[in-house]
Amino acid sequence: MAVPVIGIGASAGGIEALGRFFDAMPCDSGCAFVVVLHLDPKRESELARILAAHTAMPVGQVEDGMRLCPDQVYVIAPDSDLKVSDGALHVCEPTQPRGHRHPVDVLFSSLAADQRERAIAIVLSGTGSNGTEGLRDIRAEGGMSLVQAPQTAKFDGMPRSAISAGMADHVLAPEEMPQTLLAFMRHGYLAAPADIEATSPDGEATLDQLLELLRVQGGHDFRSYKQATLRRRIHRRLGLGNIETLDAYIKALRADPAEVEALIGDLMINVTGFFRDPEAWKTLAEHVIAPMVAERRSGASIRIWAPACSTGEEAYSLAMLVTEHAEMAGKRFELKVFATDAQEANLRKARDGIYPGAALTGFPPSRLTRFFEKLNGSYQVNKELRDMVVFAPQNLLRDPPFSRLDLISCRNVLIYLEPDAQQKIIALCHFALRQDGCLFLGNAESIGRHEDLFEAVSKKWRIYRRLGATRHDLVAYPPPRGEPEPHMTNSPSPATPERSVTAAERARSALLEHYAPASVLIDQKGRVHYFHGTTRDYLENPPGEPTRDLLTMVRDGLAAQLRVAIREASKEERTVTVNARIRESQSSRTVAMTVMPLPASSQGRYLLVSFAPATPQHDPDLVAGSPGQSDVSAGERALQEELRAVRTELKETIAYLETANEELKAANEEAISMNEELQSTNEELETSKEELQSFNEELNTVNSQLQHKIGELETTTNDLNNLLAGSEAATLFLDEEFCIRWFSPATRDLFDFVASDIGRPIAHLARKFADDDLLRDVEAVLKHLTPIEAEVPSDAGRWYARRVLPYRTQDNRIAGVVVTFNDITDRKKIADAINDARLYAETIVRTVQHPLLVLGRDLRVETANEAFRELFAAFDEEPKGRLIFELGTGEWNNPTLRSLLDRILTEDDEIHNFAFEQESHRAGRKSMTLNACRLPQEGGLDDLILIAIEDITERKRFEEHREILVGELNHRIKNVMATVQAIASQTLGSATSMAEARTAFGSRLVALGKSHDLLTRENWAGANLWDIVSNTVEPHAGEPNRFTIDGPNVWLVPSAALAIAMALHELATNAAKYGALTTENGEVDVIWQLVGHGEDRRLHLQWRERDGPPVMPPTRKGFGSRLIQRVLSVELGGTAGVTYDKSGVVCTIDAPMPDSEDRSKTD
Amino acid sequence: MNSPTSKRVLIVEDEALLAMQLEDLLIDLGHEVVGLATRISIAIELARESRIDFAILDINVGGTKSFPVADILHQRGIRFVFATGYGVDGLMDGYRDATVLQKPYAREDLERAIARASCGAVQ
Repeated sequence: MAVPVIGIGASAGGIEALGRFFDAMPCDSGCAFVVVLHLDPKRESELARILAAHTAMPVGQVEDGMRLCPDQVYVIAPDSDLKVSDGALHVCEPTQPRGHRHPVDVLFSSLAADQRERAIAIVLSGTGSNGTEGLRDIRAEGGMSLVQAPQTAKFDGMPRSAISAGMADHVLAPEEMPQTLLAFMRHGYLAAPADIEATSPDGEATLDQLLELLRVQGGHDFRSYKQATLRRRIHRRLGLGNIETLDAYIKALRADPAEVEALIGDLMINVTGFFRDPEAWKTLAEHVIAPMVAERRSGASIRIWAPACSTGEEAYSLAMLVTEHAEMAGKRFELKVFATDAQEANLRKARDGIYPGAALTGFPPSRLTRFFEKLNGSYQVNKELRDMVVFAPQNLLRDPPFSRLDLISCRNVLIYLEPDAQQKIIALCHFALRQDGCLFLGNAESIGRHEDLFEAVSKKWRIYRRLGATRHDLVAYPPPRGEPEPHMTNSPSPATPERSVTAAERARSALLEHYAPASVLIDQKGRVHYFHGTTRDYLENPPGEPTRDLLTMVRDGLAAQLRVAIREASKEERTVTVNARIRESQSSRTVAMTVMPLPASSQGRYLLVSFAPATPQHDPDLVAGSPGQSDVSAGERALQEELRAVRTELKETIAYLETANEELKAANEEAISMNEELQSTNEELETSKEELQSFNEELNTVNSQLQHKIGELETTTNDLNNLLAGSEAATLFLDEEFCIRWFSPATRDLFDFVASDIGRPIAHLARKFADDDLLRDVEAVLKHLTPIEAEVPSDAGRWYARRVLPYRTQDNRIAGVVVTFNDITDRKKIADAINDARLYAETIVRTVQHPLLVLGRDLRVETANEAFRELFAAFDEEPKGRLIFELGTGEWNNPTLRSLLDRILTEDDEIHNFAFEQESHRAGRKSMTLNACRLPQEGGLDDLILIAIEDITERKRFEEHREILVGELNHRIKNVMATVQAIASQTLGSATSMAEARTAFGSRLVALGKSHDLLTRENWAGANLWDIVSNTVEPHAGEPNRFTIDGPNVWLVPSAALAIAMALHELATNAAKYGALTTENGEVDVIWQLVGHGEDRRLHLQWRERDGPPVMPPTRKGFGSRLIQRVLSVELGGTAGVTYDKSGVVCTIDAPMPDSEDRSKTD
Repeated sequence: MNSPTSKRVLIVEDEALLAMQLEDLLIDLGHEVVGLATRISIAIELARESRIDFAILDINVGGTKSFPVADILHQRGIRFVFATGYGVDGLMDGYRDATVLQKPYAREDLERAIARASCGAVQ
C-alpha cells in the first residue's frame, strides 16, 4: 500500500499551530506529512529547524523528486510550489506572482488528484483564503479535511474561509487533530474501501430514514439520487465522524444540523469542465449550433440553459461556442445563457470565472485570447463572455424551470439521480424548450422512457430535439418560490389558545353579525385569512384541491371585477367598490364588492373585501327591442349582455395579463442589470481582497520579526541615551548635509540647543565658542575619513579638545560625523604653564653667556645654548641629541664625569667645579670647570641635567701669571733686602766712622734705588748699558764734558745690570772722593766695545780717569774693589780688575756677552 | 781654617752682592766656600764633581729652578739648604720638608739652618 500523505497548509500563526500538532502527533503513524507555509520568498526558511524541535520524525526541506517516506515531515522551500504525484514530491517555480499565490491550494489539489479519497488535508492558522479551493478538490475526490478551530488559531482567516465554504470536515484544535486523523485512517472508509455497505442490520430502510431526515431537516430531496453514490458519500461522512453504524450517524444528524448541511454538500458534488467530452461538443456544434446560427437572422435572441452548472465551465463553453459560430457566420445574436445551480458556493466561483490554466488545456489559442484574461497561471473569463451568462440559484428538482429555451445542457446531473427523478427532469426539459429546441445530456445519460418527447440528433453524444407540443401534464408545477423553507415547518401562525369570551366580545360579534356585510380578509396575494359572515352567496369551493385564493373561490362573474378592484385598491390605497353580476343557472344577481385596504401592520398588508347585494344597474348596453320580439329579444338580449360582459371581462383580463407581463419583463431587466453591476463590483472586490490577504500574510510574518527587533532596538536606544546623557563629553551628530541629528545634554555649554534644532544646519546655530575651522574640518573628515582634532576656546574661558570623526553605520556606510568636545581647560593650563616655563628656561639658557647644556635622562643633549656652541666651535656636528660623551673629541668621556652625572640623577647630587682640560685644534688648550645639577620637570616628565661650563683658561692664566708676579715680586724684594743687607754689612764693616758709614751707606742705597728705577722702567727685563752708565755718572756730571761715554748698545740681564751699576757707582764715588772728579780738569772716559760674534762675543769695558790727582793704591780693599773684582767677575763670568796708574784709576772688564743674550733695543 | 765642624760649602746664587754677603757670613762661621755658581749649568757641574760637605741653593737661579742640583746633592748624600725669596710655596714635591732659609736672613738664621740640615734625616 502506498504511503498515506497528509498535506498541511498554514500561514501567519502557522508555526505555533504546527508545533502543537506535531507535539501531539505520534511518530509511528506510517504517514508522510507535507507542510506548506506561506513563506516570504526572499528570506531563508527556519521552518524545518523549528518543527524538528516538536517531533521525533525527521524534518527536512523539500527537494524536487524526493520520495515520500512514512513517518517523515517534508517542508516547502521558499519561493516555490509543491506538488505530490506518484509518491514523490515535485518542486516548481511558483506559477503566480507574489500576492496571488496559493501554495496550499496547489498542494491540496495535487494531493487530491494523487491520493483521491485517501487524501487528507489540514488547514491551520493563517490569513486569507489559501487552502479553501484546494479543499474543494479534496472534497470532490472524497478525501478528508481538518481545519483548525478558529478560536484556537492566532489568525483565523484561512480556517474560517474553509469552514464558511463548507469544506471543513472537522474543526479542531491542532493538538486534537492527530487522534481524529488516526481514527479516520483506520475506519472502514479508508481501510476497506470496497466495503461500502452501511453497516446496519436494517440496511436499506435506514438509508431511507436518513434521506427523509435530510429532506425534512435539510430541505433537499435526495431520494432521486443514485443510491450507490449516496452510500459512498455517506460512508465517507461516517469515516470523518469516526462513526461505525448508520444508526449512530442518523442520531448524529438529528442532533447536529451542521452535519446535515455537511452531508448535503457532500452529496451534491458533481464534476465539470470546459468542453467535457470534446467529441460530443463537436457534434453539438455541428448539428445544433451551426444550423441554429445559420437559420436565425442577425440580432435575434438565443436562449440557453445550463442547469446544475456547478462552477460554470459548461455555461461558458456554450457561450463561447455560440459566439464563435456566430462570428464565423458573420452574425450577431442576443445570446443569453442561464446557468443555475443549487449551491451558492458554486455560483460564486462560476461568477468569478477564474480557472486554472490546466482547466483550459485543449483550447485553441484564439479562443483563449478571445474570451480570457491571463492572471499569471490562471485565466479569468473576460467581460464579454461573462456578460453572456447569467448565474442564478435554482434547484432542478424543486424549482420551476426557465422557458422558451433553444438549448438545454444538462450533463452529468441525471447520473446521480434515480430513474424517476431523471424522467421528471427530462419532462421538465421538454417543457422548458421551445419547439425544436435541443437537449444535451452527459455521456452516460439518456432520455429513458420519454422517447416520445424527443428525437435523437446524435444518440451517441446524447443530443436530442424536442418533439411535440408542450406537455403540461407531465410537469408538476411545484409551489411557487418564496414558500417558506420546509425546515421552517413550524407554522408561523401561533397556536391561539382558547380564550374565554367576554361580554364585550359577544356584543362585538353580534354587532358584526347583524350589521357587517359578509367579508373576507385577504393578503396581498389574494389569499383568504378570515371569513366573516355568510359568504356562501358569494364564494364557493371550486372542484379540485382546496384553495384559499379568493379569486378562485368567488362565484362566476365576480372574479374579473373583483380582480380589478383589488388591484386598484391595493395600488391607490383607497376603498374601491365594483358591481358584478353573478352568473347563475337561472338568474343573475348583482353584487357590490367593496375592497378596503387596511392600514399596514406588522403582519403584512391586508385588504377587507365585503360583499353585498346591489341594485342591478341599468345596463346601457341593453338595447330596447320590439315587443313582439320581446321573449326572443330578451333571450337574445340576455345572451348579448352576457357576451358583452364576457368580452369586457376578456379584454380586461388580457389587458391585465399584458400589463403584468410588461411589469415582469421590466422587473427582469432591472434585476439582470443590477445583477451584473453587482457582479462587476464583486469581482473587483474579490480580486483586491485576495491580493490584500496575500500581502497581509507576508506582512504578519515580517511584522512579528520586526516587533522583536524593535524591542531590541528600544533597549539599545535606552542604553545609548543613558550612556550619552551620563557622559560628560559634549557629543554632536551631524549628517552629511551638516544638519544636526542628535546632541547630548552636555553640549549646552557650547551651543544653545533646543529639541527643535534637530534637523537644522549647524551653521545656522550660535556657538558659545570660537572655532572657525569647524565646518571646514567636518567637510574634510567626510571626504578623507580620518579624524581631525583641534583645541577651541569657549566664550566662558574654558578650553575644549574638539574632535571630529566620521559616523559609520553598521554596514560601514558613512552617514555623517560625530563631533565631541572634551574640556581640557585644566590640562591646557598645565600644559601651557609647562610650555611657558620651558620657553622661559630655554630663553634663559639661550641668552646666558655661560655655555649651558641640558641633558636628558639618557645623557643626550636636549639643548645647547649659543654660548656653548661658540665656545666649542670645534664641534662641527649639531650637539643636540648626541650623548655628551660623544661630543667633540671625547673630552667628556671620563669615568669620573660619568659617575658624577649618574649620581646627579640617582642621588640628587650636584657637581661643583669639576675641572678638566680640553685640547682642540682651533681653540687650543682650554681649562674648564663644569657644574651640574638636576633639573626637575613638572608634569611627570623625566628630570634633566643642567650643565654649566666655565672657561677658566684665561682666568687660570691670569692667576698663574699673578702668582708668578707675586712670587717674582716677593723674590725681588727679598733679594733687594738681602742686597741692602749686603751693602750695609760691607759698608759698616769697612767704615772708619759713623759719619762716613752714614754717607757711604746712604749714597750706595740711592745708587741701588736708581738702578732699580732703571730696571723697573724696563719691567725688569733688563737694562741698556748706556742707561746704566748715564745713570751712574749723572749726579757727578757737574760741568759738561767731564764724562766721555761711548759704546754700542749692550743689553744686560738684571743681575748683571745691578752689579755693573754698583761697580760704576763705586768707581764714580771713588773718583769723586779721591780721583779725577776732585779737580776741575779731571775727566773720566767710560768706553766699551763688543768683540767677536755669537757665542764668543765678549764685552770690553774700560773706566779711565785722567787729568786727575795722582793716585795711590788703597791700603786695603774697599767694598767697591771687592765688588768689582769678585762679584763682577763672578756675575759676568769674565775678568774685572782695577789698576792704579799714575794718570788715574783704570777699571777694565772683559766678559763674555754671547749674541743670544743680546737683545738690541733701539731707543 | 779647617776645624772639624768646618764645612766645604757650595753656593748657588745669581745675585753677586748676595753671594758676596753669604760668603762673608760663611767665612765668619768658620766654613770654607769652595764654589760659587751663578748659573745652574755650572752649579750642576760643581755639585757633581766638587768635594763639598754642604750647599746653599737659591731656588730661582736666573729663571731656572735649582732642584736638579738638589737632586744630585741628595744622591751624593750632601746636605743642603734652600735660600729663597719665594717662600715655602716655591718648593717642589719631594723637597717640601727641606730646610729653607728666607731672605734676608741674619747670621744666626744661617747657623741654625746649617745645623738643622746637617742633623736631620737625609732629605
